[in-house]
Amino acid sequence: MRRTTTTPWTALGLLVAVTGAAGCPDASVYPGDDVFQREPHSLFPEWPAAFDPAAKDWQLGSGMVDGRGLEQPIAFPHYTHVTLNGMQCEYCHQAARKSLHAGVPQGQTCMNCHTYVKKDSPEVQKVVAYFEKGEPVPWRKVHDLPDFVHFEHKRHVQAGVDCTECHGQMGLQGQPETWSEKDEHGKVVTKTGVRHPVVRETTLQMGWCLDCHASHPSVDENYGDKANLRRAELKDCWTCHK
Amino acid sequence: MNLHRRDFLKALGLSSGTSAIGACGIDANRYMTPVENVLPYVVKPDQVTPGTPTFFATSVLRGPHAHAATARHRDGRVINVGHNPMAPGRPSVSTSELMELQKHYSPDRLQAPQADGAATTWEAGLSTLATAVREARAAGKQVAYLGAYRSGALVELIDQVTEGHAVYWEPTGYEAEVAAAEALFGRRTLPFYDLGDADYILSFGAPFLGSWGDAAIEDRYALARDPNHGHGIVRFALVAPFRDQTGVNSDDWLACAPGSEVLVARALAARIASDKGVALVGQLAGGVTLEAAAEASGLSVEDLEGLVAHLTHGQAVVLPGGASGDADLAAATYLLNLALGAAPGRFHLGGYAGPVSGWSELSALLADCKAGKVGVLIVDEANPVYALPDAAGAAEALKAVGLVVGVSSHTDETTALASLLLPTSDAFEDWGDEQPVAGLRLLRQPAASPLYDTRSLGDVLLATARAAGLQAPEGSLGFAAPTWREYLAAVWARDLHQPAVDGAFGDFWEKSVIQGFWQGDAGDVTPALVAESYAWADAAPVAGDLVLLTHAHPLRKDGRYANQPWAQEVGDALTGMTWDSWLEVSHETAEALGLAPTGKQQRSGEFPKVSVTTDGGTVELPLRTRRGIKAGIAVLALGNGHVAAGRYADGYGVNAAKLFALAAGSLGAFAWRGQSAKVGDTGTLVKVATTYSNYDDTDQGRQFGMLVDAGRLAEHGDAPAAHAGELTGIHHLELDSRLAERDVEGFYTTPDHSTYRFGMTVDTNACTGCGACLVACYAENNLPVVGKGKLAEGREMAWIRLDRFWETAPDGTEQMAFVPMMCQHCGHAGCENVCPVLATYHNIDGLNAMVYNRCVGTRYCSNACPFSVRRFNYHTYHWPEPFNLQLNPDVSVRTVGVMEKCTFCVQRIRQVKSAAKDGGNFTATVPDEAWRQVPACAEACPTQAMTFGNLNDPEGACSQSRKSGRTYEPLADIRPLSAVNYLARATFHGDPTAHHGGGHGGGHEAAGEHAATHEGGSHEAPAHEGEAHEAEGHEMKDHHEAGSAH
Repeated sequence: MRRTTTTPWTALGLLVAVTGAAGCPDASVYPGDDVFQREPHSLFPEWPAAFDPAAKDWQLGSGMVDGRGLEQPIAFPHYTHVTLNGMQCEYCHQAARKSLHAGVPQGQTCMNCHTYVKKDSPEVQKVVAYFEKGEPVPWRKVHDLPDFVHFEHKRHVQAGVDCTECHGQMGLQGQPETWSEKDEHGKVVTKTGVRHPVVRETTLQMGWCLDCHASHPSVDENYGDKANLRRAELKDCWTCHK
Repeated sequence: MNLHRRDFLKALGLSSGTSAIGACGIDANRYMTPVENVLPYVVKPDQVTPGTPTFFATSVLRGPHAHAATARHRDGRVINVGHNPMAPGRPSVSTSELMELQKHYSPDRLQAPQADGAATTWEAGLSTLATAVREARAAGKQVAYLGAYRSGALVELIDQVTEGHAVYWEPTGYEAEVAAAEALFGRRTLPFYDLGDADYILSFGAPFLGSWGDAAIEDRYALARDPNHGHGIVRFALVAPFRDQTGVNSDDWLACAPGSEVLVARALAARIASDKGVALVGQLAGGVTLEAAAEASGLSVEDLEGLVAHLTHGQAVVLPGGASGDADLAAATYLLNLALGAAPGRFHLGGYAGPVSGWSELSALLADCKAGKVGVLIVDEANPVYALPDAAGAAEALKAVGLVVGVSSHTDETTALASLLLPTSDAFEDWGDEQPVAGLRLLRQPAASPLYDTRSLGDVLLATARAAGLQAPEGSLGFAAPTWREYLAAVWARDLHQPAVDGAFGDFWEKSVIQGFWQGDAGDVTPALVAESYAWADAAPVAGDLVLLTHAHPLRKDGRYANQPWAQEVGDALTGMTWDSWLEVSHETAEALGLAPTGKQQRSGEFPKVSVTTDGGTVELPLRTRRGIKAGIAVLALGNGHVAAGRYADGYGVNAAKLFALAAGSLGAFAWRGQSAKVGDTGTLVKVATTYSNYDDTDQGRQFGMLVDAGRLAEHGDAPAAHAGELTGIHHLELDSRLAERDVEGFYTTPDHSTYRFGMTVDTNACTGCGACLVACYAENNLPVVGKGKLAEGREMAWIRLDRFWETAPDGTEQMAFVPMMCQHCGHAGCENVCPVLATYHNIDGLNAMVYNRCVGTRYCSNACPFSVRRFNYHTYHWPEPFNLQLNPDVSVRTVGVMEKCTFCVQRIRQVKSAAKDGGNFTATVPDEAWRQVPACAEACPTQAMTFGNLNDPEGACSQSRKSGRTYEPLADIRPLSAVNYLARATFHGDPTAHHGGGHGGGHEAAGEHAATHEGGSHEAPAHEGEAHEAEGHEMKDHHEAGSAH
């Protein structure tokens, strides 16, 4: 279980910890025989490593939406692919209907088209470079559920939940923009391009999930007279908590 | 303003945090989470879908234990092992297969070639090896191989590279059995024992329930032990000085003097052969009379007459000896099987036929080494430096070899002496094939990419042979195959592919890889005697006041799994002890030595530290008393006490092998013959980490373990509960009426389950105590290994506790019931009512759910649990890399402050439900057959003692199984409405021959001697031996309570 989702609690706990309520002594009858490495015994064990800004790369946690997303290794425009060229989600996210993960497309999928299309675009050339080096594109995860959540794309897609209900209007994301920012010399420059390749538009919080689990019309469509039973199942903690 | 509780807490947390962390550069007014990367495949393999497991048919184990398995591959790594449902053999996995899985991810794996302790490249390493091979050949020296048991195509390649100088040796292997088969039947092969049809098993100590025999022998035993399979329950008699984990499953234990087993077997064979007129067998067995055998063994003639009556009555099978059994004992048991007419149905030569070298060959190799006749020695997972007594001089022999090459995936005491280490890919990364029994070939395929810079042993040998310019024999495949996989395919094409039947080889190969096995004709496996006489060695029982015996540890085996944390952490089946070696004696032996532990010591888990001295040396270790050991016998398991096998093995326990004298047994086969030993008191106490502290090993009358009379069961069948009153057990099965009362409304409302009420039935009659369920649970559910110190503090994290309960029958015999105890998923759960934050609750499927995120760690639930099956995370544990790669992504890794317990593998339940909906039918209930082996424990159980299912389906296997008259529910009187029910263990007691009509009583005298040993004799054996069936359960219960009050 990743600790980071309890960050507010952790932060609260620091005050307790620094006032002297940290854990009890950690004596062992066989000193030095630890098998799996044990963290120092305290109430808030990962402090402060989990909060070290230098050690990790941070984004806004679930529950808050700022419309900025993350910088990506390649300024990928969903807008161009989906809206302008009419590609289906499952062309690239191939496993959405059959696996837990929708799947980020393999390099080969990009190359299916980009061997021929837009070969001179600098962003496409980055894709080609990764592919030719045999390296995965290190995409940064925007729609990131905590590790203690069991989420199956296939259950939602097969039930008839539209991708946009959770992911928002991906087809409109990654539109070309013009904006100003400071460069490394502090000079204001104007830039044009894809500024926010992927943005999380929904909170992805538990209450948000449960709202939908309680009311989504697909439950009635798929379960008929067992819909109420299914809604009870969808409310069960162990449906999503693993 | 409407402020919700969560928002309030969030705001409070953030504003408090601001002061502390605002200076660090984080935007403290926002709740931040670390960014993770998503790394797609560059080119995705066709078989793999991220997030969905792929199953690769393979064989994880090698040689005689090979078993058709599947590797569960998820997102680029193997996370678990299961059975291959397409293949013949048992539908389960063994502890060894799970240990191999953990070994695959061991941080002590060799990661790159080493020469003289320094890293080198494969090219340099292979060139060194090829040069050494060329020079050795030029100088007329041997290129020898020393390995553990191997079979299939690899053996052919090894034999060609070494020109036959290959020794396949294991310290607790099968050389005695193979040598005896060669002497009697002219074939170096292991016999195959079909226990499924047997109604009587006589064993001389073979640990066939966990460590011995082919992979399916436990499955066949379970079939014979099943009351519903048609002809009663098989009766299991043991003639041995002590009962090990297999032996405690026996109904009758005849405690013989160590070393006298062979005389008993010969006397029985001679007597039965003469009764039945099988002259040749009688002639071979030699004229040993029952009286002579009785005198040597300390058994009574009546005991032996009773055995004769049993053996000749029905379908009997005789199994050979354990680690201390030599070739004569194996030969005598073969003759006994022939005399009984067990051949060729229940006893034939269809077992393992791969190379099994004897001690004579190993000692010849070591002598050649010392004499400088060996230029290159290739060591492949054989560890003679550790496993042999020092007198063998294995270390000196290796030092006299020109070049010792270690080709295993790990280092150990033997490869520590190797100057060149070429790390080989293990069973999850390599191709290969195995031939565990006649007519069956298993194909191994890689289930994941190699973790490190390793290569296949086959590739190493091929490359070496080519580089050294070796000439393969005429007509062989040669060394031209560019890769080991192609060599293997060529062997299959030559030996197994029949174009007329199988079509093109490509299709045949693809089909074989997918299904993982090839099955064909076993050939003639009839055991035909070719010997006309047999030279029996002088079989004097071992002299001495105290005799030290040894056996392979059920989990660590001969030591090969000692470096796997699971093998150390999972408690020993008979003592619950972990991370150590300990000397086992009976209570009366301890008293005679003046070392009997006091009640206070027992309760605090402290054991007297003793010194054990034999001719081989002295060791100091804790002394544990237990039942099932003859007076004057001390038992010390092999497998621990390593010095160079890795961080989890080194320094734990003592190496029993070093205490034994180096003496070849009969026919030149090595046997761990008993050693006269002296035990002295060091005057100190030592705390041993024990998983279960009920030191007297009884349930103290609380009816957790239950025995019923198997003889009565045979007469009445495994009757439905309505007829259970007819069964008279050692304890009355009075619980039946209480089970009937389940429907009565109590204080709490009975929970409603509309679709599923998951439950499990555990047949304690089938449970052998092997521990596979525990290990499988560790593997599936991301259980941390806490280590010796924390375990001693009671911080064990196992979700299953293997309870063991000795029960004393009215006639004085002692029987063991193993009761795997996990969360009972009660309908009226004590834990649920006391949780202040609703972290544990009864879910819609009848599962007692545990939500780690909600848990605040009050531990009230653990206090309230009447079964003590909840575990608390006192620490956050980190899996040392690369153990973390084995973590199951479907299960949370828990952190400090969180309670956890068995979930019935809810992640697998989710998968089954989800898979059922993939076809588009959302409302169908998953049929019961799909549930039977869903939890990891039920999948692993080698005897299928665990039946999982939907109790809402009255026709389902789980619902049906608990209609048995043996059903009971622990602590039923507090009405927990458990989802887990147990079936009582059925054992034979009373007159041992009554159910077979004739013969004499007996067979229990020896066991009876020990009835009074437990708790200083407070449980005296009742005197009414002949009235066993009349003994009332209530009396026994009262008796037990009186005992525990003491």
